[in-house]
Amino acid sequence: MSASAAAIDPARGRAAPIRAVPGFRTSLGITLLWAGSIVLIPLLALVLRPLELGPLGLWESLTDERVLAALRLSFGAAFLAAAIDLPLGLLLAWAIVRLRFPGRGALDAALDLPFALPTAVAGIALTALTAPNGWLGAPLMAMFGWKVAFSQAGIVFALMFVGLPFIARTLEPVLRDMPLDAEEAAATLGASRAQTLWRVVLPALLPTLLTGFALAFARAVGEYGSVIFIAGNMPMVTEIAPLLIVIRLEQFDYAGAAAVGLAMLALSFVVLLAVNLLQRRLRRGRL
Amino acid sequence: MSVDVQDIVRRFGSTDALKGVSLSVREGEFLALLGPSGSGKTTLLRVLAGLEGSDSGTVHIAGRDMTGVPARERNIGVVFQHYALFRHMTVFDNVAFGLRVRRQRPSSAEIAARVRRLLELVQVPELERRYPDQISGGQRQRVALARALAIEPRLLLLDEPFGALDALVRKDVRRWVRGLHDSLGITTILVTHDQEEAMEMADRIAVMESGRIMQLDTVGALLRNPASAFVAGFVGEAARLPCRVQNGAAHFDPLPVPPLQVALPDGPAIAFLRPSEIVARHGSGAATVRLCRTEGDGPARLIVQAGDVMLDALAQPDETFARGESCRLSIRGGHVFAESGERAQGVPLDETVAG
Amino acid sequence: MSDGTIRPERFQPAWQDRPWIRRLLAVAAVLVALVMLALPLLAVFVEALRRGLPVALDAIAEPDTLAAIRLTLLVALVTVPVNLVGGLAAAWCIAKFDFPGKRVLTTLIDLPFSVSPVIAGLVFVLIFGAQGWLGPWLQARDIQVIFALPGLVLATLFVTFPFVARTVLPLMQEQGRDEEEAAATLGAGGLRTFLMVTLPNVKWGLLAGVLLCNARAMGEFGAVSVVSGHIRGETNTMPLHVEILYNEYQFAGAFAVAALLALLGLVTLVAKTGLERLSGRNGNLA
Repeated sequence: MSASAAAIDPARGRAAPIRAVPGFRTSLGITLLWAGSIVLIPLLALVLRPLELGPLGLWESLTDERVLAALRLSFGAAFLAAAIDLPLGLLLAWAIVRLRFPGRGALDAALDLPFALPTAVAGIALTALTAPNGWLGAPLMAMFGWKVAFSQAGIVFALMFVGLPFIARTLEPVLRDMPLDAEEAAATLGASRAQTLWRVVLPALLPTLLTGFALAFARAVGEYGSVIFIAGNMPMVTEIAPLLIVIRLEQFDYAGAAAVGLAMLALSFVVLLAVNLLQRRLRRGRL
Repeated sequence: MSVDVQDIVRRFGSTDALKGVSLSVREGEFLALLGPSGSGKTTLLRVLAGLEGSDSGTVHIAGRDMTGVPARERNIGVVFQHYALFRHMTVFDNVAFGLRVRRQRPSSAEIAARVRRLLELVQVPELERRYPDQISGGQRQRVALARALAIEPRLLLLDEPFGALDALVRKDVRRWVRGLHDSLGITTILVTHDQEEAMEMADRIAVMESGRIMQLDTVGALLRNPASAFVAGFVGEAARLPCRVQNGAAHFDPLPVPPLQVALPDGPAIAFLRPSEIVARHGSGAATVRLCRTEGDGPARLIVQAGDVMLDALAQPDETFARGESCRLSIRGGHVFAESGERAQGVPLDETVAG
Repeated sequence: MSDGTIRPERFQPAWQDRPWIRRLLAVAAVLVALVMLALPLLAVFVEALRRGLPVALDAIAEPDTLAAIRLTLLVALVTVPVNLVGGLAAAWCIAKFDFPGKRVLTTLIDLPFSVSPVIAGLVFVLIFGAQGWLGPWLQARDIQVIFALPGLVLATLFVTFPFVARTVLPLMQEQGRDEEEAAATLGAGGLRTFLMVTLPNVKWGLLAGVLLCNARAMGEFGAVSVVSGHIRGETNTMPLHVEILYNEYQFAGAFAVAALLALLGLVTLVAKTGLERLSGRNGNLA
C-alpha cells in the first residue's frame, strides 16, 4: 500500500517505478521468501559452518588422506564418465536426428530413462547387471577378467548412466537446427565426407558438446544414490566424496562434513568455470 | 477527454527515448503521432497508457495528474500493435474481460448484452465463439477495438493498428475507424509511421523525430509550412535537393534545375520540391524523361532524370513525352532550409534570368 | 579421406553418409541404448519378478513397505504445492518484469540442480541437527526436524526446487508481455491477470513441471537419506526402504519396491512426452 505512495513521489530523479503489469511486489515477495528459506539460507550454513574449524583445522580436515582420496575419486570418475559419454551421447543424438531405422522412436523415449528412474532404483539395477553373476558382469569377468561392480569401474559405469542423457539431449536440438547447407557447401568445395564432418560439423558442435559435458560432469560429481550400491565403499579405494559427508555426519563432525561439501562445490565451480572459459574462447575463435 | 503532456523525458539505459515531449490533445480530437521507427512515438503512447514510467515530466488527462496512476486505473483503451488478444479466450470472452474484472462487475446478462452490442458496432457479431487464431487479421483488429471500447474509455490509443493488415483491407478499415471515432467522439491518439495513414485519419499530426515532437499541426499546415527540413522531408512527397544560396537565389548546379528565389543568407541549403512544383516542358534541356504516365485529364506524371538524381515532376498541361526525350524544367516553388534551420518559401525567378 | 574412389550407385544428399556407415551407426546406437538404458530397466523388473509376482506383491504389502509408501506420498503432498507456488511466482516475476538482480535470481533457481543431493540434506542438518545452529533451541522445545518428517520435507523441497520454475519460465518468456499489458489497460489486477491471462497459456507446461517435481520428490534418495535417520516404518521413504531391504539381502522385496518406483518414473515420462506434444500443438491451435 505504501508502494503507490512511492510511485507518486514527484521529486523522483530516477525512472518512475511504473510497471505495466500489476502484481510485481507480491510475486517477488513470494519468490524471495521461497528461494531464501529453501536454498539461500541453507547454503549459507554450508559456507559458514566450516569456518568454525579455523583455517588450520579446515586445512587439516580437507587434507586428510581419506578426504583427498574420496575427492580424487569423485572428480576423476565423474570426468572420465562424462568424457566417455561424449562420443556415446553424440552417437545417440546423431541416430535420433539424422538416421531413420526401426526402433528410433523407442530409442528416443528410452534416452530419458536415467532422468526418470529414481537413483536408488538405478543403483541396485546397475549393481545387479554388473555383479560377477550379472548379465553384463558375468561375461565381462569370463572374457576379460574385468570386475565392474564393487570397483572403480563400477562407479564410472553408474556415472555414465546418469550422465548420458545430459549430453545427448543437449546435442539433439542443436543438431536438429544445424543447417544442412553448410555440409552441402563443403561438398561443393570438394571436401570429402570425413573432412566435412571433421572440419565443419564437429567444430560447430564443439561448444554444445562442452555444455553437455559440463552438465553430465556436474551431475556425476554429486551423484550418490546410483553409486553407493555399485561402489563397494572401501575407504581410500571406492569411497566417494558424498559418502564421506554422510560418514562424517554420522560421527557428528558437522564442520568436517560441511568442509567436504564446500570443497566439492568449490572444485565443481572451478571445473565449470574452466569449461565456460574454454567455450567462450571457442565461440570467439569461430567468429 | 483532453490530454496534456508536459516535458516528458524517458531514458532507457544511456539512450533517451523521449527528450522532453510536450503535447496537448483537445477533447474529441483525433491526433496522429507520426515518425520513423525509433522516434519515440510508441514510448510516448505507452507512457500515456501507464505501461511505461517517465523520468520526468507530467501527464494530465482531463485535468487530473496521472503520475503514479497504474495502467489498470487509467481507464484508457489501447489497441496494441499485434492486438494482444487473449489467445485462450473466445472473442466474446476477450471483449467481456474488461467488464468482468471491474470492481463493480455488471451482471452477466448485462455483460453479454454489452459485448454483443460492441461486436455489432465493430461489425463482427458472428465471431463471438471463435478463438483469436481462427479469425482473420482484419477481424482480430476489430475485436481488439471492441475489447478496448468495452471499458468505455475516455481516451483511445492505437499503436500501429493497421500494420499487420494487407493493403486492400487497410484502406477500408482506416476509413471505418475514423467514422467510428466521429460517431463516438472519443479522444483518439494514433501511432503510425505511415504518413498517408496519418493524413487520412487525423485532425492534427505530431511529427516525431528522435524523441522530440518536431511539429504539431493540421495536415495542410504541415504541408504549407513545414517547421524543419525533417518535417518537409517526412510529410508529403518531396524531392530533397542540396543547393547553394547566393544573392537571394538558391542554385542547384551542376543539376539542370533552374534556381529559386529565396530570402535566405548565402551558404549551403536544402530544398524540398514537390512533384507539383516541378514542371517539365518540351525543349532541348539537360533533363531526360525516364517515365511518363497519364492519368485522366490532369497533366502527365513524369520521372525526370536531372544530372544524377531522379525527380517526380508534372508535365506542362497537354504535353506528353516519350521515354528518353529531353526536356526543360521549371520550378514553381519549394521549401528551402538554410543550415541554421532558417526556412524560406522559394519563388520562381524570372526565367530569362535563369538562363 | 583416401577412399575417393568409391562411386555411390544412386543419388545421395551431400549431408548424408554412405548407407553402410549409416547402418553401422544405427546398429551401434541401438547397442549402446540397449546396454546403457534398456538393460538396467529390464533388470529391475526381472529381479522383482524372479520369484514370481505373488512374492513381489507380498513384499509390497508388508507393513513397513506400506508405511514407506504412505510417507513418500505425504512428503510429495507437502513438497509439490510449495514448489508449485514458489516456482510460479518466480517464473512470473522473472518473465513479466524487469528488476535489478534478475539474473542472479535466475541462477539461484537453477542452483539446486548442480548441488549434490547429499549436500542438500547436509545443509539442513547443519541448521536443524543436534549440533546445528538451531539444534539446542529445538531440543529444548522438543521439536524434531532432522530424523523426522520436517527434515524429509525440507531436503526434498531443496532438490525439487527448480522443476516448476524451470519448465514454466521459458513458456512465459515466449508468450511475451502483450496480453498482460492489455489486461492491465482493461483494468485487471495482478492476481486476476495471472489467473485469467498468464496461467491458461502455460497450463500444459505447468502440469509437466508438476509431474517432474512429483517424480523427483517421490524418488529422491541422497538428500532424504541424510536427514532421515532410517527408522523403519517411521522415517523411511520408498527409496530408503529399497536400500534397507537391499542391504538386508531381501533382494526380491528391494526390487519389488524399486519396480514400483520405476513404474512411477515411466508413467511420468510418458505423461511428460504427451504433454509436450499437447502444448506444442496447443501453441498453434488455441
